Amino acid sequence: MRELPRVVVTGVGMVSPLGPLPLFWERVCAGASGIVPIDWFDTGPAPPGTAARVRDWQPKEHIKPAALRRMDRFSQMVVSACRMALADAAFAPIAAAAEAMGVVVGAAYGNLLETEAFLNGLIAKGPALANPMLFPNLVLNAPAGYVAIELGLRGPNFTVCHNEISGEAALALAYDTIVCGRADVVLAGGGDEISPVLFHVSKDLGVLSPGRRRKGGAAAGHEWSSPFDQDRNGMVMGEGAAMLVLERVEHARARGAVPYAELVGHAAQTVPSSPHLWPRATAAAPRATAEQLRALRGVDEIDLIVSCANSTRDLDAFEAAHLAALLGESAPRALVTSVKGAIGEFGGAGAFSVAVAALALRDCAVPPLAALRRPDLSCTLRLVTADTPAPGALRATLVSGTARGGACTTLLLARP
Amino acid sequence: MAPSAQQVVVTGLGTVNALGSSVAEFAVALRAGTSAIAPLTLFDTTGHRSRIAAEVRDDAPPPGLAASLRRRLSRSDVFALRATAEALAASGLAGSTAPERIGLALGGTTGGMLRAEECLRARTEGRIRRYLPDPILGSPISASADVLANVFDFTGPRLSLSTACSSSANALGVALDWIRLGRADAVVTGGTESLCRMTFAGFNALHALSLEPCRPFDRRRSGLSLGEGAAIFVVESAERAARRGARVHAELLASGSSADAHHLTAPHPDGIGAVLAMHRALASAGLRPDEIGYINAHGTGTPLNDAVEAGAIRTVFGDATAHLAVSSTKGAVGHTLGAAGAIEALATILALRDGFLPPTVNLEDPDPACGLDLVPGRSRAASVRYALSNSYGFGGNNTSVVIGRA
Repeated sequence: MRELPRVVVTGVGMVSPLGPLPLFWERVCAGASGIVPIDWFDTGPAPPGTAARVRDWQPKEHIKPAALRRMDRFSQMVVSACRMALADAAFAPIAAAAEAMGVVVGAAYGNLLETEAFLNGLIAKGPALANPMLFPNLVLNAPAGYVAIELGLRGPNFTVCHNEISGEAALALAYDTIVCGRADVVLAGGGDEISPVLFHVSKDLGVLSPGRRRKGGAAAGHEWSSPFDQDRNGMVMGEGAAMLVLERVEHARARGAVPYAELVGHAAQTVPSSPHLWPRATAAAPRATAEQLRALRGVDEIDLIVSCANSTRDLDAFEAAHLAALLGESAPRALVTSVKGAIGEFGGAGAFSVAVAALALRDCAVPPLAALRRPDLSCTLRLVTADTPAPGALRATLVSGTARGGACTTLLLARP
Repeated sequence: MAPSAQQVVVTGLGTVNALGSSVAEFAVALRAGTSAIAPLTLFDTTGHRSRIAAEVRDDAPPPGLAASLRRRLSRSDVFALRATAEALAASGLAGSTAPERIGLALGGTTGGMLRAEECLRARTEGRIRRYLPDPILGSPISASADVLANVFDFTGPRLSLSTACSSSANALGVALDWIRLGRADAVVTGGTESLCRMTFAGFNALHALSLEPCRPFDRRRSGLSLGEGAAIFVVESAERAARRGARVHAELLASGSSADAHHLTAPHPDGIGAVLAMHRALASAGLRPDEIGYINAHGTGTPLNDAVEAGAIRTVFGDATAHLAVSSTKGAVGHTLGAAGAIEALATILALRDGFLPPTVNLEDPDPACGLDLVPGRSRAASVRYALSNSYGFGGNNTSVVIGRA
């Protein structure tokens, strides 16, 4: 095979529970959390009753009123994140460039809020009164369609659906889209939004954290459950959208862009898993992933791993076993963190992992596992805590994502 | 510039749709010009403007599944399972390929929505107190890929793509790229879609559904007819297929994708995205327009789509339009949304392999403004070397796939 084109990350934009950039990055590096009590729908009498909701976001700053009125809230998040990513990349695509510019969005459920509203309307009022304005927004690819419309992008336009790794899968597909010559530039990432239906199903399944009671009596209040903590007791549902500008390196050079990082490549495999649940630690067998990664530049220089660990018992145990086996002898060197403790778990959350990997490489900074108190003793990884000193240098960063159903995706980023 | 110009071929075919429960049944009905569009019985259609669709009647899950798995399956999962079983059985893939070298790239739009609707209704009407996990967590389109990976033990890369009505055409493009990038030795690809109340009510609310079975490219066309089903392919390199002595049904040469960047539901009036997609597909395949003999059109039967698509074809093909046959199989099998790209790619493969042009069923009075040879009514014998399959969708997504005779 001929040598593949190289792909760099030149811009990052986001709508998140920790705000947009640069606020998000400052907050996540300071160990802040975006988790709040849910007061916008009924969560039932008993905990869990918290979620990580987006904040510091004004859609009208990014989208004109006429377009805003047509768009659902999740599409507004994605379009806002794209506008911020392009501004961050100092890139205003002219017509010719926009023709070769693609969009890949990853989402697991998308606009579930309006889907529920549309169906409830159908049940309550019958088909004659079904809302024709709502229907087009219910397709999973509506956000990607709106991005193309708002930004005038005529390249390939894809939407990927893959539970919690929808974001990683979108960035992997965007990479392939560029190296296969289908586009020079791709806006790629993902997200999802909090919905009552999904909250209640997750709560009933027992995967949501009720929070941890801090010792010291009733006045001590709650603290959040952390990924890789011995006492972790579940995930918190989150939401948001992170979009990255991926470019062929020559394209970035020609316009004088300064890349955050190179997206060197990716690898994927599937391990056995029950439906709706994450694989067990005993299922970790990352041989196929390791083989695919071995061909990539920088695989021996991984200094940081941004894991998908989300504070559930199963996924974190799987990730600990999977990553330790994946990196073998190099695992003790690499630092490991996760942003799910700060922004929660959701369909496109992995796009934030990739954004964090790119930001970390740019700044040589490593965000901590904010609420980590007692690291899981069975986890042999070098976890990043608030006390971990900033590394002298970061050469390469691995993003690891594992979804319910057993699909695993890894992306490798390196200093450009 | 593709990473390598490796030749990629289709070595397995499978389908379930309203015209047939196997590739052989589908081929016979396609050739005969049968239409499967009839009054919809899957759910109550009282109060809907249009009440017809192309419905799969034989919807039993494949034999041999554990009861615990069978209970969990959505209608889309059932179609996908059966089509995959058929494609695998004839391909001889099992046993010749390591599971971690088999990729899975599927397209779809509504996944398990039909069952999620039933769950929502049951809760709203007080018949259940809580949402059930299977109908809700099994509703995203990724659930079918999860089921296939689980049942057939595919442990390679996996992707579920949703670009509305071009979803499974784009899945074929991903499969092609994966083979050429060496991400897998073989890819199981295609799409699956089940009828559901959401799309039936939604397209009705938009007045996009025809009151009579749809008649693509007809002067009196008045909308589309929905359908359902799945088509699944096994795709691998020609070299590998030859080495293991697999039967080759067709060559998958290229796909080209674009966005209209115009409107979420209406096509760009100049077909700008459709033209781009066809140009990209042809350029990627290294073919001139006059080398294409047949186009399986998106041809939904809506006044706007068919006019814009016909115009885009004439723009791309120019003088070569005169030697080109164009037909839509949606009058026969309905518009199967996320599965349409795959089912129509299958129709195109059968046309090339078996030497016929599928007719545009229900086309009685061809719209002269289209200016195309639309193969009305009956199929025609024809020997075609290369063909295009067009798929367009909500969001302004356009994809053209180039398929060649083996």
